[in-house]
Amino acid sequence: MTIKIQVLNNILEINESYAEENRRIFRDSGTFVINLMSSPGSGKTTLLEKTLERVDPREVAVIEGDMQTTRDAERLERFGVPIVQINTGNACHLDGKMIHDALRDLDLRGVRLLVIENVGNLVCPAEFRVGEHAKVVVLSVTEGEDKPLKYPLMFREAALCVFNKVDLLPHLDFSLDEALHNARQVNPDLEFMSVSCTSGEGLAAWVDWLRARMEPGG
Amino acid sequence: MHEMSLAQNILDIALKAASANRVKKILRITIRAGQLRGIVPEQLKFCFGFVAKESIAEEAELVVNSLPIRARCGRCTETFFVKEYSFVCPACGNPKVDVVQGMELLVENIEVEPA
Repeated sequence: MTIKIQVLNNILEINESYAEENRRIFRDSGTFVINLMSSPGSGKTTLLEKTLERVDPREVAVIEGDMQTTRDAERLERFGVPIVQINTGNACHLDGKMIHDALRDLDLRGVRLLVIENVGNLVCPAEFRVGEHAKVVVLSVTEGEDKPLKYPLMFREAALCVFNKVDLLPHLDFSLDEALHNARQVNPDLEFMSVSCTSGEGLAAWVDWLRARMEPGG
Repeated sequence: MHEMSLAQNILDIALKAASANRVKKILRITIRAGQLRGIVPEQLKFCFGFVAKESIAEEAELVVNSLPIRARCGRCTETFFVKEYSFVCPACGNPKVDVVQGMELLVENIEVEPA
């Protein structure tokens, strides 16, 4: 004899409750939080370096996620911002609990911007909310116009897509129009900008986008 | 791979539901997974078999009901199956659509042998 027991439990319920708790913490501290995602090597950390050169580092904190090494955190140390490096071991994404635990080591008073730099991966990070206000996906122009179609959840979840390394466009057979078309097909509300961390193109607009979403300073 | 952590979550949910009832063995666990989640059922089953060892769910069959992606047009209210991740209304061409099915990820029920 068998009995069927109805359960109807969200499998990601635990992650969702950590994400909600994180969101409450960010609300209390008045911090705007982005979850920065991309393939490995698209330029997330470099974009973060360029950002820290242009905003007041006293108002910024960073949570770095990598499977191994503290290299990214070390690159950002010179800015004097509070940084927590999470080494996930073999986990390919950051989740709500990891961020919740990291926040125990971070004083968010006076922090108007928290950047969570996720593990380089266009697949899994999009599945896990961590309490962020916006997901930002960085796509470098060397990666191909088809990526929004190949990784739809990432591009659907993102609020902003930053095309990086646009200084390389003259050397590539990459169509920005086609990439935009593909991304819009998957997410018509996606905002876009083009930057080059090498030439500096577009970085002012990127910082303006962040500033417009940060709460007014004291 | 996150199928492993999902498998662990599924096991935890099933064991919790079982502990609220007098259960000798969990025979089957039915999952509802929307296709936008990108779950690979065979991988999930493999991972589940691994995490469930030595529990009352160790011989449980994992059934994954995969739900196709459906969206509703914000303009003409047509509800349609989303093909090839194109979130554009096939009736009127409006790109502003709401996903009404495809993001589900839950344990629907467990079938058990009572104690």
